[in-house]
Amino acid sequence: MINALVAFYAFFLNLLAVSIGMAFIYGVARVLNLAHGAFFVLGGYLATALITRLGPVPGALATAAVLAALPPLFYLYVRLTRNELEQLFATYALLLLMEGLFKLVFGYGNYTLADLAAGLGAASVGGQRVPYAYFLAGVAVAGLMATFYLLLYKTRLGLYMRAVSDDREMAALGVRSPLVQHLSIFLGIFATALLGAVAATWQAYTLGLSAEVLIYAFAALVIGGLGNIWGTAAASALVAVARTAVVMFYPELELLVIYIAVIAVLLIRPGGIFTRYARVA
Amino acid sequence: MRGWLSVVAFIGVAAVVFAAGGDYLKFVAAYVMMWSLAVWGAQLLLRYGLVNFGIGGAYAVGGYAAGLLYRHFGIAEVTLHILTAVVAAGLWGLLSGVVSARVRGVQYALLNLALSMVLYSILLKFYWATGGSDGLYVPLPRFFDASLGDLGLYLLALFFATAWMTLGLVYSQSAAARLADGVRINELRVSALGAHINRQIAAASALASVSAGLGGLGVAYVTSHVSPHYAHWSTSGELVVAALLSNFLPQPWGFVAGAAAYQAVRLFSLQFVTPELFVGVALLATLGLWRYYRR
Amino acid sequence: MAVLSAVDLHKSFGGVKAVDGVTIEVRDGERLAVVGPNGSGKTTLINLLSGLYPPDKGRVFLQMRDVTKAPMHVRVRLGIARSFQLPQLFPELTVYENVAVAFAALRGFSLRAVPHEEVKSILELFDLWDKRSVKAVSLSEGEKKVLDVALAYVSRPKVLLLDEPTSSVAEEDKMSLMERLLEKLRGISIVMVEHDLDVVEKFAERVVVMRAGKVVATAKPADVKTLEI
Repeated sequence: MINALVAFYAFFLNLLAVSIGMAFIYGVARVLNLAHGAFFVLGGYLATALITRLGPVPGALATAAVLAALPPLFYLYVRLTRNELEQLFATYALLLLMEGLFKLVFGYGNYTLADLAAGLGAASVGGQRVPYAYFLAGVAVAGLMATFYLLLYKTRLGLYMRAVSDDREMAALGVRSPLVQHLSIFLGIFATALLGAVAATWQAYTLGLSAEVLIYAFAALVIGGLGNIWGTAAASALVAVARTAVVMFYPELELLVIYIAVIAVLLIRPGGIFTRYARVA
Repeated sequence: MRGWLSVVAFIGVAAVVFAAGGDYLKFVAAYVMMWSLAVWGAQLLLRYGLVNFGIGGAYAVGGYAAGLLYRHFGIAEVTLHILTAVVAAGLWGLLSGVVSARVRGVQYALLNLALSMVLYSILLKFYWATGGSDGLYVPLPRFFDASLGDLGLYLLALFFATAWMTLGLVYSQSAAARLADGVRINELRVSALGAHINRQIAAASALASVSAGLGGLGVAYVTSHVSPHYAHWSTSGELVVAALLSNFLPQPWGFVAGAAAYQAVRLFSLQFVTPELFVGVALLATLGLWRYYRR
Repeated sequence: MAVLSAVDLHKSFGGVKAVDGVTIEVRDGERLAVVGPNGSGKTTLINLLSGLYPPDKGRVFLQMRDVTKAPMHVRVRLGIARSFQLPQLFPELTVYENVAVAFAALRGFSLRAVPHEEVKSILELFDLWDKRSVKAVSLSEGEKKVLDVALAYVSRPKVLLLDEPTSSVAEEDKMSLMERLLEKLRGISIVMVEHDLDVVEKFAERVVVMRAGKVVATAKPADVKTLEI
């Protein structure tokens, strides 16, 4: 039972990290980043590579620095595209490029900091040994959600973001839209990548992970409502529960069950289960 | 008529390649001709403005039709393979079309991507039925009692390619093609003119999937093998890139030339870069070309 | 006999009531004008009648048949067509191809070609045959309006809803444009949303006045200029 809970917890955190970032960026900047899962994975690869080479503190700082430099590049890249179709091709190409680069730079091995993090010790939960690293990630994700909440509902900038998310043209009349877009992209990508780095303390990163994560994240996005952050969070929980249950009893049907849910949502409530009113455009 | 003339010219070129070319060239030519059907399918959907990153699903269905029929029933009869591939891929296209026609743009692409990855995961996991990651052996097909042999397979590929060129010629003059352009350019108006757009898309999706399925069947024949990778999102990506390239080239042979160009560059560059890197760069290059061309 | 009628239509967007209990009737063969200030709900009414979105409350009838639940493309096939305030064309296609799309829209997924004769007859009817190879984006404003109406005409509607047919057309061309259009549309019942009262006075047979989402008056065209709109 504890095993199942831990599996659920781990999967849920991963999914949340990616899907929230994607939902946020789509909601505010209208960019559906097909490569978002790759940033999560990149965080893990980088953290592992840098920390094992430079030691925990310099490695962590170096990782954070590199990850912070990526969003502006992504923003510039996306700004080159003129419409949704081009944006689609551009982010898909980016996913391919990143996967290809991972193969070249990091190779086929497993990258993880779990051995190092084992030094942190472990807690005994219901007779099972759960490394503290797991809780670290949980704290990080909780921190992220709190940050989002504070940002969106307690700051002027967050107000702008919500306005832009609801209606770009109206908001453009009074709000510095490009800045808001830029910042939302920064926050979305940096947060996801950083969580990927933190998650390296308990899980292994390997090729093909980015697309795997993307598939589940998309399911969460559709079920929760594209651009709807809290809906996506709730949907991520649902997807994580469903997936954990299916994997325990009938592993072959893992993706199938989730996608039947996605199809059902698209057929019955295309705006997402948790959306109060679907956007017209 | 220029269209029909080019079909004849194409047959001539294919004949020369077979007569004068070495084994490798014949293999590549047959591969390209079969693969081009799947490219045609992707191109068909592009006409509606729909980017299908999941067309690999239909492509895999076609290949596995042959693989499964042979593995579980010992059937190597080409007519049965083709019939099964057409029906199964058509059903796949119809169902995925009905579901994904509800959305557009990125969501459409992503939904189809996901559907094909679901198939990928099923093909991978139900290994006792599908051979898992090893895939399935696909024998040289038989036509009634005779094995097709190298010449027969090449002729089959040529037949498919020319049949699809003909189909392309008919299609480009059709009401369906006009409607596709309309949907791509101004969907609201097309709806206000009386078209049931989602039904059109579902029908187009079925046709595109049948093409992709036959393409997958053909490639499985040429390589004697089918694997879950046929359904992988990167396979769909390649098909879409080749389809985009084909949009630059004139009908009716554009899709074959686009397929050939793509495969040629890919085979050449595989010595230097990983496949994903190649497809990613190819996609960006094509995008750049597209932008430049439509300035 | 009413060819198109609507009973107690209501439609809100967010908190704004765009159409507030409108009942309206279009008689067979008549030219009905709908006038009113900006924001009075005229375009929303047209959208409800054509089926772009369903009403929150109320019904729409086409010759006694309840079409309230029918989506836009079904209503077109039943006989309600519309043009748009900003002409909705296919800009990069030629005039010929534009009309071909309109014909194709009424067929299912068909590999047969759109009949050339039919496209030609429509183009000739609207005096667009000479411009058949011109890209729609290159047409003048007036010609775009004509094409827009021609596209709607392809479905041989019983009722044609014209949303501000003379807007964005040069002042001196408005009257001749309307004259030209209405001449081709004889026999079809017309509902025109219009701002230009000269046009209404000359071409309408009956006028309905809207304000704040409601119908506040019906009038004769001759009187329309004296009303406080």
